[in-house]
Amino acid sequence: MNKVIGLVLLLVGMMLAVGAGANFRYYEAERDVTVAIVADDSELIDLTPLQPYVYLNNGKLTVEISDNHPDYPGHGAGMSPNTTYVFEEMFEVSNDLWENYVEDGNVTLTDAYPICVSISVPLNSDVTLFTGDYNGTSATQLQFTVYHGQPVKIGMVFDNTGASLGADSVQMSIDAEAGECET
Amino acid sequence: MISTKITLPLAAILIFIAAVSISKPIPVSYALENGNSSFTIETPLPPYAFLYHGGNLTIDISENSPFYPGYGEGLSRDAIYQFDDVMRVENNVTQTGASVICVIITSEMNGLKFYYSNTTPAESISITLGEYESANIGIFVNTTDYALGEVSGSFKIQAFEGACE
Repeated sequence: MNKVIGLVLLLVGMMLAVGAGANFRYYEAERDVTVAIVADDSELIDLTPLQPYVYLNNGKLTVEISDNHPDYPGHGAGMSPNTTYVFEEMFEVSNDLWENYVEDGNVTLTDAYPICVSISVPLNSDVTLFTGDYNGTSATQLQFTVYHGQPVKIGMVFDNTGASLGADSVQMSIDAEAGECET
Repeated sequence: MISTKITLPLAAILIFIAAVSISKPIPVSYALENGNSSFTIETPLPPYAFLYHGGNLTIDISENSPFYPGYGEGLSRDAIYQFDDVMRVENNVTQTGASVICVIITSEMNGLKFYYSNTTPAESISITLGEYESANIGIFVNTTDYALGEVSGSFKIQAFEGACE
């Protein structure tokens, strides 16, 4: 009798083993993520300072025209009121997304993976922006396409008309979307 | 004699269980493709995700990634990124043996969220997949509060038979 029960148990055990192996019940996997946090001038969408007025403050692009600038040379502590200043090529935006790398032949095509970049400063601020060389027009909102290997240079206009002495600051925000800008 | 009386019904029950499990269709899974390919629900869609040493899916946005092209060393601070189509989850019926499965992806890393198609990124997402149906998963990374340097974390992929609730 005991032998029979033993045999039955063995059979059941085999059935269960086969059943557990073949029938999908549950799947669980733990997967890793690693992200390098780097300065603005070396990330996927680079913001690189081009003028001494622009620097990386703990990795973040900062425009500072005052004696608070870490590299303030000791002269030219700021701008004067009722004056308009135009700075060309303050910083540049480049497209270093990995999607630009084309495996085929190890070549990088400049038109592989363009991005549409928007930069804005608050409306009614005394700061306006432009791309490339200054041609007399600037705006609080810019939109332009950036291809890999073809950085776009951003200039800034400071219209200090009616401004009083002291420090002023605005926040610039940058947004990039995959694909060329729709015109 | 007493002990036999007890064990006989027990044996009957055991046989009954065995019979039930036999009467079910038993899918048999076996790999026909690459020798080391074990059953996974997820597949990386490079360059930001890949199979680490040919094994598990890994998301790596740093110079250590085999897909690092020599530029774009990582992400910057205080920014929000969305990468579409970083990986694909699929109900491969040959492997799951289930006509419908529910896949749940859960972030275990600060600032990391997931989304698919046009859904709002969330810390945990669930997708119902029919036979051979797949979905491309995107990742959302908010680097606010991240310091310069390497940040690591993980996420969990779970799947079970049947539709998501």
